[in-house]
Amino acid sequence: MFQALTPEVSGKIDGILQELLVRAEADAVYLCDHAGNIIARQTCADYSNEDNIAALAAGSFSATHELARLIGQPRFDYVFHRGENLSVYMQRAPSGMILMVMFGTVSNPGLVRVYAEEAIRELKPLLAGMADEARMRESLAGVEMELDEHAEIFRREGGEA
Amino acid sequence: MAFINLAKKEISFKIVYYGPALGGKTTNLEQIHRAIDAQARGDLTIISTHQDRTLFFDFLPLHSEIIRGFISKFQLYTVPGQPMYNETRKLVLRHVDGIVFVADSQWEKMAENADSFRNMQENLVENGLNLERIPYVLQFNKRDLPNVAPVHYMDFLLNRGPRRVPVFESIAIECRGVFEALNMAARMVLAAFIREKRLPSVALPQELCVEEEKRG
Repeated sequence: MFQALTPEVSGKIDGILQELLVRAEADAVYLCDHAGNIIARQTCADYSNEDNIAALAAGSFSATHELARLIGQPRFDYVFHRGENLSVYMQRAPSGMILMVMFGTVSNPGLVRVYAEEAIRELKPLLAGMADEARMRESLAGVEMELDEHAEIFRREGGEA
Repeated sequence: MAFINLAKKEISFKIVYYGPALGGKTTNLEQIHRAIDAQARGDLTIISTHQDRTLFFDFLPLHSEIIRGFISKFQLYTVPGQPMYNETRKLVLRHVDGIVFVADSQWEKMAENADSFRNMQENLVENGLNLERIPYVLQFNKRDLPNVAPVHYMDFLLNRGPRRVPVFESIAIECRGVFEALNMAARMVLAAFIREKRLPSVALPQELCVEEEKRG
């Protein structure tokens, strides 16, 4: 199985995340899937380890879901980690996605939650389209990909494969 | 589950290192992180207990330009090997695209290898996946130790499914056999992705065509 994001949908998602970033006065907004892939991002600052952040967020959210199941709850809808200067708010989004907002002391969890829920409502139809396999295959039909036959995928520094 | 971002020209895959406790899964990621070109990798994240045993998972993002015009991102994860962390192993296996099963070659670890392999199959089923449809390789680690089982015995023990999969002998602590297993797993993942996506424009390398035929 695979999921695909077309440029058109990507642009719309970026617009929603950008609006959330501004209205919630956040530092960064990420849309991730449960495998830890970053689907879209809008940030004020550069985080060089975004992939690690997304993987940990996805892992943490999945663990929280399992915790909910073990105590007899259908799910936990959001998770909030409070830091000294930067906090993280994560909320379940449709189609197996997670919306993550990183924000500093100029904002607050209540504000972030209100705007995050609004953003999720707007994202819902776009994410439903991504989960439509027939539509995805259609969008990929004209995409050409060519495997480089001669290249090693990963090499040790110094050239040895 | 592979994710394709056509806007950013990125494709993401998830490869999980599975196997018994203390078999060398974390060492694999540490060696790859140490030896690979820094431009091709991100940070290594290790979540371990105070005794340096994996608690949640280890994570290393890698990227390559093996598909022309696209960045291929491979997210490498390890699972915690200790039996009590089975729920975590299930979580890490979600949406997996490929597996490197790291077996411990010491004779006394054969039962643990077999148990871990069986546990992997069960956890895949619980995630709605089937090992027979997932690209994976076997890595027989710690071949430098004096009390190792013969390769053909381990092959008989772990490589007896409907399809035979590639086997790599390794000494992960010296980075021997580590890149070989990773590259084969990554190539098999790409081949499976291309087959599933049915890309008419892609020509697979001969070695992968052979691999795919074996998969039946």
